[in-house]
Amino acid sequence: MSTEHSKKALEYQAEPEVVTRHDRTFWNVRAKRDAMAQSLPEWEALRDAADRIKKHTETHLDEYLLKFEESASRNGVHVHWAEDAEEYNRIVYDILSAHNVRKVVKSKSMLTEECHLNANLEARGIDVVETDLGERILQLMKLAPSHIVMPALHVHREDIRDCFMSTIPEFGEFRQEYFRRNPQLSPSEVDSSDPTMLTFIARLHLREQFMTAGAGMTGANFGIASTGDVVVCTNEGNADMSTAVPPLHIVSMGIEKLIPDYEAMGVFQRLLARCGTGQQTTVYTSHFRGPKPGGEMHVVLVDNGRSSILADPGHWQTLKCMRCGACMNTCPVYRRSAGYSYSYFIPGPIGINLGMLKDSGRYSGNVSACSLCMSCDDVCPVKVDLSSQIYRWRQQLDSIGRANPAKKLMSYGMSFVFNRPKLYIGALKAARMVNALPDCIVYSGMNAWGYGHRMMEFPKESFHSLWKKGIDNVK
Amino acid sequence: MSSKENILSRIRNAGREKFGKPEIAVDAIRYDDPVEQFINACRTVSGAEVSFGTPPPDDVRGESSTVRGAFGVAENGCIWIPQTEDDRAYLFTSEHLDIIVSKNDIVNNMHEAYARIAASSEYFGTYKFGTFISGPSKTADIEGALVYGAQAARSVRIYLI
Amino acid sequence: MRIGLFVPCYVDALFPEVGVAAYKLLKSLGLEVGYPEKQTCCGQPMGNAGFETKALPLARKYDELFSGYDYVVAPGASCAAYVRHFHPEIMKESGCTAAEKTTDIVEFLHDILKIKSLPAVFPHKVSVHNSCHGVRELGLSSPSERNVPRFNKIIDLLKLVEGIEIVEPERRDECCGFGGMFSVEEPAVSTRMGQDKLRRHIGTGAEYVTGPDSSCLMHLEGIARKGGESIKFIHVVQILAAGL
Repeated sequence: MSTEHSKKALEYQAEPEVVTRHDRTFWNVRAKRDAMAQSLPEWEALRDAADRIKKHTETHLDEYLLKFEESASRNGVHVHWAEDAEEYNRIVYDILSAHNVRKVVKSKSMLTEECHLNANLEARGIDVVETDLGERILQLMKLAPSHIVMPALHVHREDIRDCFMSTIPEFGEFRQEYFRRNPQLSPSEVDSSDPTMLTFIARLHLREQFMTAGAGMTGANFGIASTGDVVVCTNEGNADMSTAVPPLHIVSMGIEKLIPDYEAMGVFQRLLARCGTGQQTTVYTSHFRGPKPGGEMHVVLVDNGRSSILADPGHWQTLKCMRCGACMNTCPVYRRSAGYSYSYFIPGPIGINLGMLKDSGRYSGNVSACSLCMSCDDVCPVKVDLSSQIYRWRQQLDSIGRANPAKKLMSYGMSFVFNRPKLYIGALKAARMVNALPDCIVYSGMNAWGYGHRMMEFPKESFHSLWKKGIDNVK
Repeated sequence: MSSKENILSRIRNAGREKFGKPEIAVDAIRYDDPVEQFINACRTVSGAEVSFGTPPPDDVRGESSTVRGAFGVAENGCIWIPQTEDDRAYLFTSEHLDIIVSKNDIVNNMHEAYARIAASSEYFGTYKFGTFISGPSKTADIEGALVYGAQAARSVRIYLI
Repeated sequence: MRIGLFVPCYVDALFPEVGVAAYKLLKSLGLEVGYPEKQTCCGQPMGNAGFETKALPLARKYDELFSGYDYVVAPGASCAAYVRHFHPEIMKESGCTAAEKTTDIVEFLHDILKIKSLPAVFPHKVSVHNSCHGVRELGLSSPSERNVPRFNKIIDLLKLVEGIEIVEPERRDECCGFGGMFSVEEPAVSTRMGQDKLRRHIGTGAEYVTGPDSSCLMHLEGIARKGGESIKFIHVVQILAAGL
């Protein structure tokens, strides 16, 4: 019965305390989100507004893209259009090479992950330095993100320490500096993997990168069509650091990131951090409207399949997603199976859907990772119908040859019995419905059931049988 | 056809029902005393310190900088800081940031904040950058442990005048 | 008022006492209760597994059997939710009439009959299992994710029972991991979710876990027994019908 996700998820259960830790970490984020939702009387009205603004924008995307281009160009920004990942990577490389850039500092961008930008630039001899602390940790450890907002939360502090020690040559020097600046602390009493100290070491390490890079790259949380602003939200200020020092700023923006105007921006700014991390706001909400004096700013608008999603009647609303990660944090399956159990680089409910939209043959192994509890629908700030979409993908698996054969057999077998009341009642009479099904179905299902459960006991008589005998006499 | 034309044409041919532009009628939170709420948000939400009056002059080592904020937002302790000089790096590279903001310039929420920026071109003049800052830089990327001073300012003090 | 009693297939086969309790409770409230004997399954297991085409004939049959009643009442929130929300979609070409009249017994008692008293006595501490489809599809209680006034129809009804003590577990409406075919396709995660849920129910100190879905209770009970836990499981309708 197993799917790709279920196999990985089973491996992940090998250390139950790791699962406990992962579940607790992300449940805490959800709990903080809940507190934010409860603190604003207008919460549901905000979600409603966000949903409607996004529906409007995505269905007028051509107009808003042109408007954005016009506004940005007026501000002196170079706007590029990329149909796919390959074209996007080429555009970015061409800009960098025209400026003789050898090193880029970049803030977190899921779009660059989607297009494999880092590997692409590195293969062409350009050094790419991730500046979000979580992303930098993963880059140094050569790991992929396990979550879109808190990408390295699954990594343990001891492993981060070991990685820093082996990859940051100045580790010892930076550590000494930490104690120089904090004379109240005694080096022997501070844990060698203390997060505050490790963060400080990363801070000094990244400072050097900011100062020596030839270009800064950011993603975009929002693109405001009326003004041409690119809005980037961070807690660390790393997008600002990346763009404040180097003269060249390149923005990678999926075409679905547009919103009409500042009025809409007020709605989304209020939702993003509250949903994503349970904060009232990110520390920095930065509006990039044009190049620095003497600098250049480029925006690459990337399609890479988004316009095809728009044409998909059952799934176009995934374009409303603003990548807050709330659906992951609430997903009971994500919390207990973690990011690497999913084959697409975005995990959780939105990742299941986006993976299927990217390549349904390749990523269908994630569709099982949903108990249809529908909690994701309730936390989504833009009301993407995530669980209904997963339900719809399941309906399509058979036609693309990706249905689970055992599950198919079981569904067909059950349907066969249920469609024949006589057979069904006969099976009930034996008080063993399972007896009516072929053995192979029973065993594959029952083995899976037996993994975690003691087998149920069947009663002597079914309700059908009691009814027949005269239900009013039943004690 | 260019990539731009291809993308636009695919969007136009997507065949989606068009949704109209919604009236945004969010009855957003307002406070009896926005200044008090702002101070509270700065201290509890942002992790910033709050003082009254004008800050001391910047120290010579460049460890500390001062900037004038245009207005503050009561609901979340954000302060809008438009770029007003050639270089903006100091806003982020300083170890400590002092932000001056007037008590008369505190709005209730982000809707009011954006309405204010949209209404006045002075917020984006020559320098095409502005940012809402809410306290010191922070991260929780290592096992969720909250640490101040991730990349940018390690501490922020807000001076209300 | 003529009521069609829909006893979901697994309740029929595994928990007939839940069907009996539902029947007796409805009768005791003076209702005419019919039970079409050709009923089997609403089609949800096939639909959720991805074989809605296999659910279609079952949905049609359901509609044919139940369209003549004023209300269809089921002791099973998830099945009632599937009928009400998915049957109209599955049968959009032919149309259907029974779906919109289908209710879970909790909402039927709470919203339609609006009962204010019951003769039931149940002197035990119970932990309420707010099952997902009851919460998020039928609105039996306010979802913890949303900013809406807090309510719980299951608890409202249980409060009519004499001697009962009612509690909810931490994470009051987190999924228990049953999910129908999910539990056999993803047994590892399903079991872990169930273990976590069970631990939180046990943590309340309750003697019983009760809820509107025997499927979730069956899942939790299977895990409890395998783990040697002694906490008991009872469908909410059995408590409401206690003593009848």
